[in-house]
Amino acid sequence: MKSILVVEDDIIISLLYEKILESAGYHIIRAHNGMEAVEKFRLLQVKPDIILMDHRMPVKNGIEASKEIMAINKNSKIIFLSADPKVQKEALSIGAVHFLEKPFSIKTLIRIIKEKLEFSSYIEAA
Amino acid sequence: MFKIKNHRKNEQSMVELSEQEIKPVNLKNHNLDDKIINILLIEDNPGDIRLIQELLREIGNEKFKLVYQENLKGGIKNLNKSKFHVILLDLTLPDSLGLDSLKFLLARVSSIPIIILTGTDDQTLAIEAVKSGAQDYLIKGKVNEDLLERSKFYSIERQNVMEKLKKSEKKFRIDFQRASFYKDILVYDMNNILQGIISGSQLFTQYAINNKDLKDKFEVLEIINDQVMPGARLISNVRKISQLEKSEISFYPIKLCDILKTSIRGIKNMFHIRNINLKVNSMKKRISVHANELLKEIFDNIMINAVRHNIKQNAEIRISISILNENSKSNIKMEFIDNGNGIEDSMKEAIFQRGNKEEQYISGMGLGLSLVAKIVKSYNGKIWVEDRIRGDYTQGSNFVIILPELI
Repeated sequence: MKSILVVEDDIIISLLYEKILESAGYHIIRAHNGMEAVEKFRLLQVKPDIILMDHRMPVKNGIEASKEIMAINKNSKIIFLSADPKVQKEALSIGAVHFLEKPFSIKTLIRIIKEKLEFSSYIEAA
Repeated sequence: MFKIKNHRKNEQSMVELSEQEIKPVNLKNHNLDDKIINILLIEDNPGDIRLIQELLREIGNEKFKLVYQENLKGGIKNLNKSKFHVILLDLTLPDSLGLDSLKFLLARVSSIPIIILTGTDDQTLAIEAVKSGAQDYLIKGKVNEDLLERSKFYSIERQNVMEKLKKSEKKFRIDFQRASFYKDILVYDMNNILQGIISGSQLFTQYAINNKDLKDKFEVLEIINDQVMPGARLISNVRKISQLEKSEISFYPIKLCDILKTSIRGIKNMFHIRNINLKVNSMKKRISVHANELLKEIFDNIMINAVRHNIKQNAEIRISISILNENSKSNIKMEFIDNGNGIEDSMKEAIFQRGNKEEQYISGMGLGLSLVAKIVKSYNGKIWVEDRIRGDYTQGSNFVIILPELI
């Protein structure tokens, strides 16, 4: 089962992501701010296949957290989910594989996750 | 008439016109609220000091209080001690020369008008001084009492106007920051809220699929989902209008029809439950425009309106693209002809201007068309709306866009 680290400070949205993605067949790990995300990522024996990253969070924003996660594992697949389109450029420049502007539909989210997972398994197979 | 209390060899010395010693004289040409005008004279030449004193006496001593200092350092000290309405400044002081004296003063007392005193040979310097922020200059030897008074009066008035301007500029800046703040809240927080709504309703849709009792109630969820995206669109339009107004967006060559195709695909997706008949007369693959990512907003907004404001069973949009060659310039003419509800004559211009005039509200049209108009304008193009059938607006509209072709 593929696992996804969901980093989102809004509890309601975070729970919704969890239920949606679990019903789509993924294992979910949740973090509620950037610092918690980095700590969880560091401690995980098996790194998550995908990280869904919000940007504006109370402790350590998405960009900072992503930089640290990329430093721990440069192959991390971070999908930025933000209502703030201004951070798109920066997110992609530090290595995020995709930027999804809120609000997006569940269909879109799952499509993007599948795309990124397929791409990585293609690379692994090669 | 006036007493010199101290000799000015002392750096701290000053001359004051004692008010009791001066007989009241009716002032001519004066309306500065009958206040006593405090003048600081920074001048080291005794002859020039004496001259200014004489001139002030001619104008009417009871209206002035003159304090003088022979160097800049002393002048500054006095400025800290009492309030002055105007400063007369010589540019050849023992401790400071030329524009440096002025800049030094301006950095400390930006709200007090400064009049430069200069010799006949220094006029260029004096003009420079005015450009740098002095209110006026007077040429020594050519000053008479009228000139001195007028200069002083105007300098004070001008400075007042400038102060008001500064205040209004400050207020404007605060308002602007506040507007940016509201925009930020709208864009960021509202989108997060919409994300919650859309995720919740779509999750519920998933649950409902497996539930017999709920299966028929799907359209309610569709309505919720369909309302979220227009909300998000409104927010996105607010942000883009603000970007355009701040000229934050650059321009580059774009193939017009590539964007049009993407836009049409999006519209068909968005209104998949409606019957839409969408035709383009000819996709001219080669034509390019000098534009940016906002080009798609033009097509999106016009077509969304054409479908949304259309009560007919089948929404029709016919898109016609042609090239106009006039005066060696090549323009692209695009027409979006719909069978929607139409636009009354009185509204044909107003729909593009929402947000430009106060308290103007055009029901249902959102911000879309004013954004469209702003984008078209930024491409040096034109946009207007006609009736599909001339004289009968209820038969639908024709949105005409002219864009310069990039060859």
